[in-house]
Amino acid sequence: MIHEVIIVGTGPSGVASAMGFAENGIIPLILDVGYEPAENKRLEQNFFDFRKSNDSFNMMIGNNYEGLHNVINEKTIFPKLISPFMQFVVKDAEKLSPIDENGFMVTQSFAMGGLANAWGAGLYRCVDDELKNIPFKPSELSPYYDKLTKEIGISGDDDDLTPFFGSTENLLTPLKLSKKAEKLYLKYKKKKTELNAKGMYIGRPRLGVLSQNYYNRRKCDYHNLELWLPNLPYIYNPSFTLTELIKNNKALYEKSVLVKSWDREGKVIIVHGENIRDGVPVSFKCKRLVLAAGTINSAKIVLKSKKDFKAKLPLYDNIHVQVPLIFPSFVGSKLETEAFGLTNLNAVFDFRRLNLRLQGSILELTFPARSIFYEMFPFSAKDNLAFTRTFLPSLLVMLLYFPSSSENAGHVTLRSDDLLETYGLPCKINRNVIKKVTNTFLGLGVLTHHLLARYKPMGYTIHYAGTLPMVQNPRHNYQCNALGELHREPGIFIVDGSLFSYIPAKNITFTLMANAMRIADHISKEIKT
Amino acid sequence: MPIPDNEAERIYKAIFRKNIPSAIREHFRIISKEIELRSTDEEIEKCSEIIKKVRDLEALELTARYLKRFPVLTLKFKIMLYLAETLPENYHEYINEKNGIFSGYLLLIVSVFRSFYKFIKGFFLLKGCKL
Repeated sequence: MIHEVIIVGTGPSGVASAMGFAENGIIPLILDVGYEPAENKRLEQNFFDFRKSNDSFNMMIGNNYEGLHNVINEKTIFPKLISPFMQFVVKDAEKLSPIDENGFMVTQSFAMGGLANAWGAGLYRCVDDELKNIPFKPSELSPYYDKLTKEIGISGDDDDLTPFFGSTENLLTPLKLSKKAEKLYLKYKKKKTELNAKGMYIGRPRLGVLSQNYYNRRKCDYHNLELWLPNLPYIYNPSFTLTELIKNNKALYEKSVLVKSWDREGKVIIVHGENIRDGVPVSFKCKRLVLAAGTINSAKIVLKSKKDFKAKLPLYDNIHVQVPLIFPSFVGSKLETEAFGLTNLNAVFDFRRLNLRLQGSILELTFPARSIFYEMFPFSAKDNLAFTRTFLPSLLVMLLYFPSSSENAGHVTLRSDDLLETYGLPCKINRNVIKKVTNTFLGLGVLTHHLLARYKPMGYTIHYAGTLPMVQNPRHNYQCNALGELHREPGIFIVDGSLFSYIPAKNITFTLMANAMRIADHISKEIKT
Repeated sequence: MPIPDNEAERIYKAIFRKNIPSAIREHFRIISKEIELRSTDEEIEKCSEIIKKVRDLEALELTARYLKRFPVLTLKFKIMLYLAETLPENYHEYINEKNGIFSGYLLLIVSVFRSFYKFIKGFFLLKGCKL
């Protein structure tokens, strides 16, 4: 059978493109490894309350000690991947796509829904000046942003950040703020004229998290499980949309397939892969192949298909700095166990003189496994525990994102033995900018200092992009045109982060999804004509 | 190199000043085997030796952490903290349940001085154990 369209991958971009095809009446075949959680664990009470009266070994560590992998292997991993229930997100990643990391850390997922299983659910529109280098009008994305907003259910507000986060149409009401976040926001509102003059703006985040019941999904219950359990109904996961598409016969889904490369028989594209259950090679035929395997894996499929073991493809990520915000009056206070554990507020720093815009996501530190904070403090074991207990309730942390830049870019190459190599150099950050940011907070009654900032390695934010950029006039084999079609490869389309050679200081998943839908729409029209 | 039976007991006591529950001891034993596979015989041997010899393990671990000595000991402390957190009886050790700004600041000040004392003590302990 020759399929009209095959999509590889079920992350946000893959699922958004499937939506785009389904809207046009085209049924794509979706190929995916598609790991799912071993158990869809549910807890109908607050996690902290549960722990007070129950042995939580199974919940926190897991029968196979999965919750200790980060400690035993002494590896920096994304906090949401520590939970034993989240291990399916990165299951077999090292086996299915081994990577030699040299200064650019990589997190890969072969799960249904991809890395969105572990995301912070930030869904921000890009405003026109953030969509640098794209070969089409930014306004072309607007209708797709609108459609996705309705599909996902995004909470947010019309506030000082609207000029940076775009239209507020169809947003759900924002989530409840934690006490510290509320205090910070109130102080900001009182001093906002002065702070805006310094380039600082604070407002509510745009999150794919439900503040009210939405279709058949339940609203956020503030049970503090958002960093611990998978597929919570109130946090959007692309697998929700995928399941609906499959159920309504709007997409075909072939699980357990690891796509490796393609070649051609005349005008037909043959997609080669492996059934990961038995290791048997499999192949599928199509007229158009849409790669949404993620920035790094899409690049790998392209390099392998072209048998190019020399090319160095660019690789970008947001530079990431963690800044603690200390509220002195909260030292020794009770931990706010019902605070929402992801972003409570966003701060934008629009330093026009420096031509630099940064964005910070301000989070509560209600992460369930408190031992993770042990190493934050330089004291003895018992005293570190005292600090964890007494000092942490006075902290918010701001994850500060810088835009990607060519001086902080890495690259990726494929070796002939199938091993990917990523390279990156230590980030170059202007420390004066961090100073400027921390000084602005001092005016809000918050203690912080630029020396307390923690610099994360390249690749930590998992906002990878830029391996196969789209340009107005593609000139070499690893560039795409405005419709995501790979140069000199008719019928091969890229729809994920690979296409973007610039990442503004925010999570661009929403833009990747809108763009994937836009490309699917164009391909569908081409098929119809 | 076999793990001494009382290793878990001693680390737990150094942190929590009470006896280790049997479930935690068993989990610790299993994970220690995993750590053993990733460390050299010499590292394991030294670590076991100091756990046997030194009375104030908390002080020794702090100084060793700063001087980057005995990383296996620090790793074992960390693992014990993760394991112990799963017990409801230790909940109050990790999470503050009452408001108390004065007692909070006082505890932090005491902890800083206590750690300073422990660091000095650990330094002499480390010198004394000649490993």
